[in-house]
Parts: sequence; C-alpha cells; structure tokens
Amino acid sequence: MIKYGVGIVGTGHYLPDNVQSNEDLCKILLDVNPEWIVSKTGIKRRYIATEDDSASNMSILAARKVLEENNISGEDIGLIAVATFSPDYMFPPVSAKIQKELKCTKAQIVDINTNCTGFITALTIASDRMRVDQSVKYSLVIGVELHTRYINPKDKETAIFFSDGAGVALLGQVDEGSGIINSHFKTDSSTYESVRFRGGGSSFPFSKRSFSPDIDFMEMNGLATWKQAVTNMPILIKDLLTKISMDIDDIDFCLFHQANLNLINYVMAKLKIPGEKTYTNVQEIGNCGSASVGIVLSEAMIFGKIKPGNTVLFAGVGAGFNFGASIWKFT
Amino acid sequence: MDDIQIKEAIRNTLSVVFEIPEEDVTEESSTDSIENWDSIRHLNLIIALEEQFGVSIPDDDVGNMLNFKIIKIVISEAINGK
Repeated sequence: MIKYGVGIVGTGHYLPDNVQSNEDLCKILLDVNPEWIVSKTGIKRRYIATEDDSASNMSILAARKVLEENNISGEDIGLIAVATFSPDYMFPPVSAKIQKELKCTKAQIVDINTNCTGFITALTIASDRMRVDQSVKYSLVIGVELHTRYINPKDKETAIFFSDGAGVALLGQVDEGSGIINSHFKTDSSTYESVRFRGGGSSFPFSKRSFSPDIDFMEMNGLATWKQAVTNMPILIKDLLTKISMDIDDIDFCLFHQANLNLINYVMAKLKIPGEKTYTNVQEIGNCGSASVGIVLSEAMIFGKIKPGNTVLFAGVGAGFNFGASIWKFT
Repeated sequence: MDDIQIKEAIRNTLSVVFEIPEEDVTEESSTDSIENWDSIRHLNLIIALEEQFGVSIPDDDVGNMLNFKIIKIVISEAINGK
C-alpha cells in the first residue's frame, strides 16, 4: 500500500529562436492573410526550429534547466518518458539520447506517441509506474516536437498551426492525497486517416520511392478534426469527472492542448468553466503537438496561475483520434 | 414553449450569430445557404442556442446541427428532456 502521491514538482520549456509571424507565413501562403489566421485559430506567431535544433537537444536544454532549478541530479531520475511524434530517428528512442546526455544512468526510458495527447499520456504512464515502484523517486516527463520539418509551408490546413518546442514536468513523490488523482482516455479511430504523416513509416519506406509531397508532408482534414474535437473533448472531461465523483466546479484551473483558441473557448463555454480558470498561449506559440501541454503548464507556473492546493485539469486531443484528460492536485 | 416559438427563437439566434437579416433565415437554411456559417461561428451558435433555450445540447449532436431542421429537432428534444 503506497503512502505517497505522485506530483508535478518542477516544470520548464524550451522554444527555438526562430519566430514566424502570420505576416511572414503569408509571404509563402498566398491564399490567406494574417487576420484570417487569427480569426480561424487565434494564432499570431509560431516557433520554427532552426537547422541546428533537434528534438533531443531541445529536450535536453529544457530538462537540464528543470533539474538544476530543483537541485536534482541525473542519477536521481528513475524514468524518462518522452512524448513525441518527431523524434531524432525512427529508433533508437530519443529518450535514450536524453538519458545519455543528462547522465540519468539509472533511468528507464520510453518514447510515447499518442500525437498531441502525448504529454497527458506520458504524465499518466510515468505516475502509474512511480506508484507501483517506490524506487522510482523522480521521473522526467518530456513533450517535444520538431514537426515543422514535416509541414508543407504552402498547405494552409497545417502551416498556420504548428510550432516546435519542448515542455518538461519533473514528477516526484508528494504527500498522500496530492498529485495525480486520475486520468481518462478515449479513442475514436473511425476517422483514423484524417490526420496523418505517412512518409518513412514501414508502409512507405524511402528505399522504394522518391520524395512525394502527398506522403512526406503531414496531412490534416480540418473538418474531421474539428468535428472530433468539439464532440469528444467535452464528453471525455465529463466522463473523467463522473469516474472520480467530481464536479466541474471542483476544478480550480484547466490547461488544454493548445491547438486552436476557438476550440478552447468553446470547450470552456460548453462546460461552463469561467474564462479566468484557464491560461492559453496558442496565440503566441501555436500548436506544439506533444509539447503543447508541457509548455503551457510551464508558462502557467512561471506566471503564477497555479497555486499550491489547486486541482488542475489537463485535456487534449490528438490524431487517431486520441483524447486524454488528467486531474492533478498541486502542492 | 410551442413549436412556433421555438422556430422563431432559432431564427433569431441564427440571425444574430451569422449576422444576417432574420427574414433571410428559413426552415431550409443550412451551411450551404448561409455563407457566414463556418466552423468557428458554428461553435458560437451552439453556445448561443444553449443560452437562448436554457438547455445543454448533447455533445454528440453538435457536429450534426448543420441545418435549421436538425437544430429544431435537437432543441425540441433538449427542451422536452429538461
């Protein structure tokens, strides 16, 4: 019987130096204008990795800072869980390189791909592991994305949304009753093909073909994505609350996957959550995929949006379509 | 609230959300006939309808309410189920 909770005891993030404004993007994307992008998504700018950036390097820079700020050495880390769909290589896992560079020699590693739901999935998997095995005192949960290298800059369905970056949460043992309360996941795979990136997968190996924009850039059916999100996000959150006998009024603060400001505003209104109970950065950062929830959490902590004792809901949607929500009591 | 009142209130809500004259909203109105009916305004419409009628629209119905007639069916069911 465990006598501790597993909580988020440190956070951080990294964004590349290269900022792309809507005005910059519209020099390439000729059939839309900056105001249209803002009205459709809320997004004003994105962060695009430079040639020197890599998924591992962005993760290492963000995670090293979190370890230093919390006086934790690499040796103290028992698990590194990295959520990503744009790792350095197909394999080995990018988490292995992060383990090597941060000298986390005792850490188990795992890469997790549930697309934009990845950070919530990784938080849940890491905390589950820590609750089973007391010897795992600390875990690094990292969400990282360098997916703009998969984006066709002339495709308005994708180019207006996506950014690169890394978000980190350090998990540690906390007082019993604090930390993760529970998570809930749902997958509606009926529109599995609606958001996809096929290039390099074993069904589309590079050894048998040349570059093809249809295969080697990310594809997104915006209408299918929108319909999935507006239908299932509120349902998922209600199902989680019902499962743990909580009410939406019990939630002090909400952090959503930063996909689209209009979607976040809708989910808030549909669930009757007051606007002051969330923080958004999609306007300034765009959609960072698996890193999105980690980055918005890190900023929310920096800006003092989450107070000790707060009960915080994380929720997101990713390709598949995957839906994930998790509730944590902060210390 | 009877059927006529429900239809009038839906017509009024569509007119406000999509910023078109009320007389341009008919029982045949749909995403095909109202140019402003895009995905973003659709979300605003759902919230406006919930406020107008004091109901909670089932999440499974949100993506299907793409014409006047289906909106009327969903709202009537929501009112009766309150």
